[in-house]
Amino acid sequence: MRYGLVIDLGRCTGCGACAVACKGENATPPGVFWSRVHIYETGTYPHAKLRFLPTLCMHCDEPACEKACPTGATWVRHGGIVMVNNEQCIGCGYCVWACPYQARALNREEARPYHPAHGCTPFEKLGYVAHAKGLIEKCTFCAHLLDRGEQPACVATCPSRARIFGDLDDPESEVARLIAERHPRARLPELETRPKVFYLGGC
Amino acid sequence: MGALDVPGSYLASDAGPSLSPGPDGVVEPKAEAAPRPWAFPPSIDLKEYYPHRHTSPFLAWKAILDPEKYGIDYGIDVLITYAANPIMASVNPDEAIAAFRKIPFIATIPLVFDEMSQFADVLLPESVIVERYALIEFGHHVVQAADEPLLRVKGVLVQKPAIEPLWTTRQADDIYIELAERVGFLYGRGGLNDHLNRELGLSDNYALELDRRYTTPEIMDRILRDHFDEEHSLDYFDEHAVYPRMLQRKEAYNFYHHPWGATRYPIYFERLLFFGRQLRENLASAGLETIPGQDPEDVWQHYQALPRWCGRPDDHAAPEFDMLAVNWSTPQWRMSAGDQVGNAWVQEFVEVNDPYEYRILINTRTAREKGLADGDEVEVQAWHGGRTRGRLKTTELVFPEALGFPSNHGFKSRQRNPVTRKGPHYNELLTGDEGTIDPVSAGIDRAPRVKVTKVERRRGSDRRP
Repeated sequence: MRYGLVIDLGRCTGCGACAVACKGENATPPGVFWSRVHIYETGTYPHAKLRFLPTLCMHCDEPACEKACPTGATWVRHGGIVMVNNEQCIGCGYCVWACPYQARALNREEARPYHPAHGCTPFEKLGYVAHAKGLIEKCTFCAHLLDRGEQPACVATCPSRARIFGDLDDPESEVARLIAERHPRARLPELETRPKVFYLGGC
Repeated sequence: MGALDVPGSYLASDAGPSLSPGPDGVVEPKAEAAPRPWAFPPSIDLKEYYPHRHTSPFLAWKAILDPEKYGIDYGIDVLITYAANPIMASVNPDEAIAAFRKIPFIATIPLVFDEMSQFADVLLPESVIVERYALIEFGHHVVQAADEPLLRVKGVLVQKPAIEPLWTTRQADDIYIELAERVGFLYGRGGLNDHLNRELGLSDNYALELDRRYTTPEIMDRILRDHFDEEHSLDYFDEHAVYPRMLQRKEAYNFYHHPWGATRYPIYFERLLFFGRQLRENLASAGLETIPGQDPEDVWQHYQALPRWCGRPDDHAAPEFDMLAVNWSTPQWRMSAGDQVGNAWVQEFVEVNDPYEYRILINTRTAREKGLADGDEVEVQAWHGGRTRGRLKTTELVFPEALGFPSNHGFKSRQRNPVTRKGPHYNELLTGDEGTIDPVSAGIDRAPRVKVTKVERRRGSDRRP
């Protein structure tokens, strides 16, 4: 089994619900985004267009971050999900430099509350345990939700159903059929990292 | 012309028999199209003078400040607001503040510390969303969707508290019920329970008893069992968040209830003409020539049976007011209600990812012609209305004569979440003054003529003036 994600740029409205749902599910502190949407424009008036490019960890089959990790903290779990073992991570940041998709970040300081004058909320106190200083931040495809049979938070919340998630190795899955029939593109294929996140449309 | 309210087409109005014929076979006006009944002295929001208006809090502030002008012979002793912010979410904020100063006692049920909280004598804070109940029935209102089955979905969404309230907050409904009991208008005919029975459409079997105090979940349970069925009582929503029910086509489409020939639709607005005549007679009976504050020459031109071009209130603005300020909802912030702009996660997402939010958008070529550049701090002043400041974002995405203001930002209260104070406040450019609003609907002009000027700063100064 290999989990994969197809993002249909023709359906994405740039609302950012994916990024906000990710924050809610993973309690990432201020300044940390495992899921982003780049908003930009192309063309000139009156033919200009507003564009959206959602990004996250590509969960590559040949992850450059894994090769760069000197301690083996970066590993690939069942389903092909690229993970970080916090116990083994020494916070060197090599993986951050190695990732060509800028999908990783190193926590250089303690997690701050969103409303500093009021201290951490109970939610933040619980969630920030996984975001300590010196640890690496990245998307996990919400592996804890997958273990419960649920979809990643960004997929479940997308109001325009621009994200299709599933098993790439199952030819009957929607995600596999989309790839077979509509040939979505991966980012930076020339690097041969073999991402498992693909993009449809958007030209 | 297209097709509406016939099988296979959009539903243009409520599902079900919503557009029913009147005695003459012509569809009866509903909602704002049906004028409010006349009364004098008028209500404080002057709806009797603007009988087709949707909502007009800015008229209430005028009436409170100058009751004599509007024929009002009573004062306002108490104002209670719930999760509303008429200072920042409407127009003429200075008049709102002046009116509040005249009201002896103000209580507010706020979601957050906002401008209304600042003016309140008493705060009755409501629990946050995960601590409170909610019931939203859907399928009753205008639905425009591409999928025909979606048009026929009618159902209910129920939210139950996930946790106990952390602080001494309460459900707003329970606050109102307790206030009604303490003040003495909860029970009996004409009391709050009686009112709720009518407003909630509760049938006799499920109607609230008039001599008993109910809690919010008890009332919700009655609504669910009455409007849906016993199986979908409040208990059902321990395991479910939503109960969608697919209407039969015959239930959904008005056409089935009133097929060909049963209802005729007006082509002209003759009813508006007649309603205008009636309003004129009503005003005359109170000794008034026109709606107070409105030009008598102009008002009745708007109550016509045929469409006509009225022009805009700022058509004759000075030449330097050469741009139109426009505003729109963004996917993140569809409205300012519920303090959506204060959501720290959404705010951070926008700040990091969206280069347009919190900015004033100007066409690249227009900016060049005016000697303005991306990032410039500018002041935007309306011909009518006020002024606001913000930073420019040059873009190819806006019309060359328009200045774009995404969402609603620039809130004022220092007690507020600081993230909500960023950016320009579009509403400051608008006005609800008579002579600029539509005399029929009391609608405000939403694209005012403005001029834009660069804010020059003294060297070394980084303070906002």
